[in-house]
Parts: sequence; structure tokens; C-alpha cells
Amino acid sequence: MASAAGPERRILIDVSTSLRWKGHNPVGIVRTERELVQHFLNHCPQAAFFSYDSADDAFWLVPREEVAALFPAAPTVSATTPSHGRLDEKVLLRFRSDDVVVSVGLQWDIAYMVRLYAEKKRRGMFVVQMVYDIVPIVMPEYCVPGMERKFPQFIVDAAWTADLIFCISESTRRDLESYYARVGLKAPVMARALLGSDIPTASLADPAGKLGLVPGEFVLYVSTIEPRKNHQMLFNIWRELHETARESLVPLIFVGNVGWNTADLMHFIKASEALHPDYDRVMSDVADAELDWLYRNARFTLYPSLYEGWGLPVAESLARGKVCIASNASSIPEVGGPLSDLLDPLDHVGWRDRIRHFLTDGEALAAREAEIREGFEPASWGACMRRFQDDLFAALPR
Amino acid sequence: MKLLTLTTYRIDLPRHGGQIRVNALHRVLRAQGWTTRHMAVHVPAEGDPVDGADHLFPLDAAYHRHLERIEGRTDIDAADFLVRDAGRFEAACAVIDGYDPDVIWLEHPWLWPFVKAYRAAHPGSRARIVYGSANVETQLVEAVTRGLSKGARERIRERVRAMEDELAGACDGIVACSPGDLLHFQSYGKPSVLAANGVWPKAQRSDTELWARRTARFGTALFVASGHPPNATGFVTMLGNSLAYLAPDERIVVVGSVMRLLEAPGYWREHRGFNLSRILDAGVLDEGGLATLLDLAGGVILPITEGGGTNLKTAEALYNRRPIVATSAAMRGFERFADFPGVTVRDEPQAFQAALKALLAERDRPALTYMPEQERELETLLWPATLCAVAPFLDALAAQARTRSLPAPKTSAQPAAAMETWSQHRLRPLLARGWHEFEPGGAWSRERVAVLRLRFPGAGPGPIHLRAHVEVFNPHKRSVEIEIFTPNGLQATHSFGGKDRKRAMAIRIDEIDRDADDMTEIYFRSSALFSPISSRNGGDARLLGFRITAIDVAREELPGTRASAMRGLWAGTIGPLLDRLR
Repeated sequence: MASAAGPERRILIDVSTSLRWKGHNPVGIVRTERELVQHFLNHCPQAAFFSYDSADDAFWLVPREEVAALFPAAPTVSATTPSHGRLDEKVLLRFRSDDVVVSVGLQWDIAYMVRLYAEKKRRGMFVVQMVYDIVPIVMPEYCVPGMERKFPQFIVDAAWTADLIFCISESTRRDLESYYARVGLKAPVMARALLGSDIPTASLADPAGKLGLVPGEFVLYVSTIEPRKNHQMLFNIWRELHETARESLVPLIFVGNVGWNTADLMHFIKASEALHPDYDRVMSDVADAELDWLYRNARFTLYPSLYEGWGLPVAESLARGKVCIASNASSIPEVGGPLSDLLDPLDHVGWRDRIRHFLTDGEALAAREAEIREGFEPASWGACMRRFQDDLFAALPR
Repeated sequence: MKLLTLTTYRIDLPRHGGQIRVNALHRVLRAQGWTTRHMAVHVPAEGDPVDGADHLFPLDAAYHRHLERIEGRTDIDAADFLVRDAGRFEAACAVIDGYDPDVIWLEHPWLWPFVKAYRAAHPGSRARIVYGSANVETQLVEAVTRGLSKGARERIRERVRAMEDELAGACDGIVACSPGDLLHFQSYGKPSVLAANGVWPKAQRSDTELWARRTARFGTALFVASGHPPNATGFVTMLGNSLAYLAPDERIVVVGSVMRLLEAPGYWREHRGFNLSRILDAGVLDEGGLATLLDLAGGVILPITEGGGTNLKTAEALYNRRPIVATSAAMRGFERFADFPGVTVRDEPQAFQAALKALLAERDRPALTYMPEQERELETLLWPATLCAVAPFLDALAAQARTRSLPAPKTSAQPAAAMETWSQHRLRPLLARGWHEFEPGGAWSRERVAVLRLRFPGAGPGPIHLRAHVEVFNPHKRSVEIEIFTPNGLQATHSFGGKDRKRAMAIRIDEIDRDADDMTEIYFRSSALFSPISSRNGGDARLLGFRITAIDVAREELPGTRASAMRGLWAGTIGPLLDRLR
């Protein structure tokens, strides 16, 4: 194992989010944490795992067996390896000065960073934090009430606590540095983390029947359903195309959990006799294998979000050779570059015309797919996590 | 001896500064044998005692709707609630008549219109009127009208000015709570006395475990304030637009309804959500809860930037021997404690924040220790000591009333003298020479001698009395003199020291000063002009002397500073000067 950190330095990986989301389909941050945990579990002997428990306001060491149980389908190495003098029980974590503490999880709803700051003041560990985006700071109006306090607190506390912050895009990095400057804080050292676009496909044999969709005869938008994601614009476009170009229209499938402040949109969808359910449907709690099938069999995909920290569905679409008409806002252009079809997310007419173009011109769609297959290099989670580890170890003080 | 206090709040469960002060006045006077009662025109609040000894006139829904229509305020416009309703007015008058107090004490000018109407309707009342003066309200009004429409702001500003000016001129005595306020009100020529704010010995602690648990992980500083807008303004000004300099384990514990202001839009330009995350909101606490937090917090911050009077919270923090980070405005009236152990006074926001950080960093600071003479000085902060001059003062006023005997003093039954005020654009035509360009806030003098030309058409015989509201530009806080001349000679010389900048100057225009068209001129000669740019007071390169912000005009003598009147004495020397001016 190449390890710039030295073999004895303990790498503490936070698994709090994965433990809290155990049993759910991992999306977004949960998936990232699970990929990181799985990588360090299998490839880094000096890794240990911990969680922060809000109820008793304490950090716990989590036994490797319990961590390995998060991935029942995946082969694990370390889970069966003897623990060489370590107490592999859930025990209170006591930080040491040479510990490296890494978290890529959801921390803003809990007192994780405040407690970690106190520990760092006492022990002086090297703290690493992942930041995905600063949506509640940039667009507080699109977030659940209360987030306008909790999230900036987490971000500011991270500046006080972390020695190294990984950002998942250059856009997030710029926004974060700009915010720190505005509040008068010196930004910690920043590094870039890459996210993979492969989806595990182990379990389901043939999802097509269950989903009730005809291959090639639907358009896909994968995203949590919330106002920032701009589903309403797509609904309006489908409403318009239903009136003006019904002969070429195929169903629009929203895949994602229904989030906050979407009651109006859900009412629109369900009350629309023209569109629902033949031309517009919502699918929640979609398993990994189903998601993979949906990407592979969609006519093309859409991603009109107003603001993102990255834009993983764009990469997931391109990785499967599918055209993605995507927003040109924030980080999204970084994902697919010229291989994604970028439009202003507020340009209703532009989106309508581009969608109609790909619905009606099969040759153009096929040509664009060929360009994507030729030009897009999908990143695997494994490769991204290896690079994360290398960058982390390289950043540690010698 | 009987005292009746009038305010726009109840005092039977004192929480905010005004309630505590009036409540303390009652307690101290009662201990000296006085009988006291309280009357309030107020907004009922949750937690108010059901049975109170106060005479209460709670504002009703119809009046709230009226206030909403006119963008009015429940305090400043409170008197109308009594005066505009015959039934309520009679009921309120009956309270006074039934009690027959020796002294009616107005803690603010807000209920003066009612007392004035009462005196007009009941000329036989023997009660002496005392303006209790919690602040110089005219200087604070801007802070409470932010967010209102221009028209509403102007109405309130004018109403406050008129009410305070009229009350200070018509009352029998003034009790001020800081030396600065006392100096201001002395210009009205009324008997006056200083009674600073004080403190009661700390109450029994309550909820100790709760607060110990909530604050355990943090270094904390305590901020206690009511929902008075300047409290929030001071907090934001001194602590800054971003509280990100507070570490994850540092918090400001905020006690009192000021929190409702800080949570609302309007005070922080940005970062409100984050800033609120650095605050522990303790809500409105009783004395026991406050006593607990005073002990648990690392110290007390007093970020006051506006207002007069003395700050109750300062007295409280000092007396409880807590570390303090304060502005000099917060230390007003307590300047003698500025070099006491644990007291840090900073007026620059960044220096204030640095002192706050130092306070938060010393989480395990040992208790402050004091010299014996300092301990004795701290005991003078108790209410019985700070209010000790009030009872003799009121005794003397009441005695005056008795010696004048009935019928009631002539002035009490007379309508106030008709007075007109020229301000803003009405001043423009008066600027004859020696002035910079007109500004609505008052044109600045450009030369050592600046001249106003005035006309009093149809004035007829007899003197005309003016009161010029003058503000000098004195960035170096030197001694500056302004001499006032009329064509008939020197009227007065006003000396301005280091800190006083504003003064209401009384000027008398005799018939001999006016020509056939009833025109006259007034000559103001200032001893110095300064430039803001050279005094690092902005980018203005002009030389400035003083400005006149308003002129009151009346046939009756107006209260105001006369300074050293030497009419006629300088006749021999003024002639040549006037010749040059002409």
C-alpha cells in the first residue's frame, strides 16, 4: 500500500451517514460516503471507522464487521481479517494527535463539527471535510426552514476545524472561497474530489416489466424533487408539447424522492388529465439496478437544475452513452463539458425546442450519442476513491 | 407625600430597563414614607400579572388598527388613546383627582398631551409635574422610526420633538439619569437633579442546571436587552456584520426581547442566518434566570451606540462583579468604574470584537478582585444610593406648590405660549451671508461671522423671543465660542467645551432691533472653523463653523441657554463691528 501518511497513522473514516441511511437506496452524499468507506475498508489497513451519535453527543469507534455489513453484496477483505490487538467493539472514540479524521457525510443537521472542533482544540488531529455545495447559502429560499442557520454554521465551523476541504467541483470551490472571504475567514487548504458515475447492478434481473416502460420510449430526469431542480419547467414544456406535438411525445419520467416544498408541483402532475400518468410520472425509491436500466433505455435525459455542487446524473447519463440536455448553471458544465447539451435553466423556449429537436430527429440524436460514446470517459467510483486517498495522503503534513 | 407615575408600560413585573427604573423609584420612595401609585397606557403582554395595583389603560384592537393606519407607535402615540375618547379621558382624570398626588411623574413625554389636557380641564390641581426623563427622546427618535414611510417618520419625529420640548418647558422639575442628559435639560431653566440608574442585589438563582447544561460547551458572553431598536442596532454595529470570528465553541447568550429584532430582517445586511447560529437565545427571563446567566457567562457585553440616559445593564454587570466589554456610551454615568478590574471600554467595532474574543477565551478566569475603596464604590450602584436625591427634590417641589397656595399657579391653567418653529427649508430664506450652500439639516457657517436676516411682519410692539438650535463643528473638542449679536448689541457668548456640540440659544429681538419693515439681522461670530477632511472626519474639505438646525419663535420668553448676557455692555465695541459687517 502506497501511503504517504505512514503506516502507523490512523485514518478515521466517518460512517455516521451510512449508518443512519442503512437499508435505503444510497443516493448523492450517502452513495459518496459508502463508496469512500468501502474503499478504505478494503484498501487501507490503517483505516478505522467512527460515528457521531447526536443522542449521547459522543464519538464512537465502529467495528469493521459492522461497517462491512453495510455492503452485504460486495466482497470484503478486511471484515474477515483479524484485528490485531484492536478492540473491535463499539467503543468511545478518543482522538489522538496524529489521527486523520475524514468525513464526507451529512453533518449540518447535527453538532458533529462543533464537537469535533472541541476535540481538535484538545488533541490537534488533522481534520478533513468534504463540501458538496453551499446551496443553503447561495439559495436559502430553496431550502427547508432552519437550514439558513444550520448550514452556514456547518460551513463556518468547517473553516475553523478542517485542515483540508475537498470540494466536488471547481464551482463549489469558488463559491466556498468567496463565502469565506465574505464572512471574513481564511479558507482552509482546498482539494478537488472526483465522483464516480458507475452504478452497482447486482440484484435485479429484468426491471423493465416492473417499471412498465418501453425501451427508448421515455425521457428521464433523475433528481430529488424540489423547487431548485426546476421540474416545473419540464412539466410546462410537456404540457405545451402535448398540445402542439403529441405525435412525437414520449413519457417524461421523474426519478427521485419527493422533497420539501413540492406540494404544488405534485398537485400539478396528479391533476393533469392530459399528462398523468401516460406522459408524466414520478418514480421514487428506485433501486440501483432499476436506475441503471432507466438510464440505458431512456431516449435521452434532462437536467435543468438551477444550481448544483456537481451534477452526477449528467455523468451517469453520458457514461451510458445517453444525450443529456443540462443546465449551464454552477458546476453542471464541468461534468460533461461540450458533450452535454447546455442551456440556461430559465430559458423555457430553448429547452422546449431542444427537447422537440431530439424527440423528432432520430438521426441527430444518434449522431450526438456517437459523439458521447467516442468522447466521454466515465470515472469509476473505485478510481475516484483511489485518487481521493492519494490526494489525502499527499496533503498530510510529513 | 403622594407620587403618581405615568408610563406606557406596567411596572408590577419589571423586566426591561424602563420598568425596572420606575419600579425602583416606587420602592425607594415608599421606603422613605411616600405613597406611590402607577398609571399605564400600555400593550398587554403575555405573562402580565392578572391582578395588578396599577391603574391600567390597555390599548384596544380599534386603537391598534388606528395605529396601523397612521404607522403610529404604541408608546409615542399613547396619549391619544386617552385624550380622544371622552370616557377614557374622564376615567384617567378621575384616577388623578381621586388620588390627588403631590407629584405626577412622566417617565417619558408620551403621556404629556394627556396631562396637559388634564391640567387644562382641572386648573385647581396641585400636583407638580416632573419629567422623569429616561433619555433625551428627541435624540433617539430616528432609531425607532427606521422602516417607516417618510411621512410617518416626519410625523413621529416632529411629535416627539414637540412633546419633549413642551414638557421640559412646562414641567416643574426634571430628573435626569445621566450628567449629559442633565446638562441638556438644564437649558430649560427648570429645577433639575441627577438620579442615575442603579441595581438591586442579585436575586436567587433559578434554572441553574438547565443553563449550566446549555452553556457547558461554550465560552459565553451575555447580552441583555429589550426590544428597543437601538439595542439591536448597537449589537450589530459593535459585533459586526459577520460573527464568523466567533469560534464553533463560542456563543453570545442573548436575554430579552431584542432577540425578536435580531431574528427579523433589517439589522444584519447579510449572514443573518449564520449569525443567529452563534447566539444562544435565552428568551425573556425573570430575575432568577438572569442571575443564573450572570454567574455562568464569561462576562457581559454592553454594545450601546445610541441613546442617552444611563444603562441599567451596566450597573447590573458592574455590581455583580462580572467582566465587561462596553462602549463609552454604555459607561455613560459610570465613567468612574472604567478602570475597575475586568472592565474594557472600546468604541471601535474591531477593538470591541477583539475585547469580546479575549473575554470568551478566558473561560476559567478567576473571580475579579477589588480594592476596599472599589468595593465601597460598587455599593453606590444600588438603587437606594442612586435615587437618594429624588425624595428631597420632590419634597422641595411640592413645598413650592404649597407656598404658592391656591388657586393653582397661573401658568398651570394657561395654554402654552404660541410658538412657531422654522426648520429645514424654512431656514433657507434667512441665510443672508457667511453660509455654505443650504442643506435641509441646517446650513453650515462658512465664515467667522454668519448672518441671518429675519422679518416679523406685523409684529407690533414688544420683544420677540427666538430660540436657535445650534450645533458646532468641533472635531478636536477644543473650546469654541459663539457670540450672538443683534443690531442693538451683543446678546450672549456661548462657550462650547469638548463634548457638548448642541445648544438651544435664547435670543431676544426688541423693537429697537427691527426696522420699519420689521426686518432685523442676527450675527453669529464663531471663534474657530474646522475642516472635516483635515480632522479625518470624512472627505469634506470645506471649513465649517456651526449650523442652525431650527429656530423657535414666540412672543413669550422661551427656555434656552442665555449664557453670559451682556446686552448694552459692549455697545462701544459692537458699533465698529457692525459697521464692518454692513
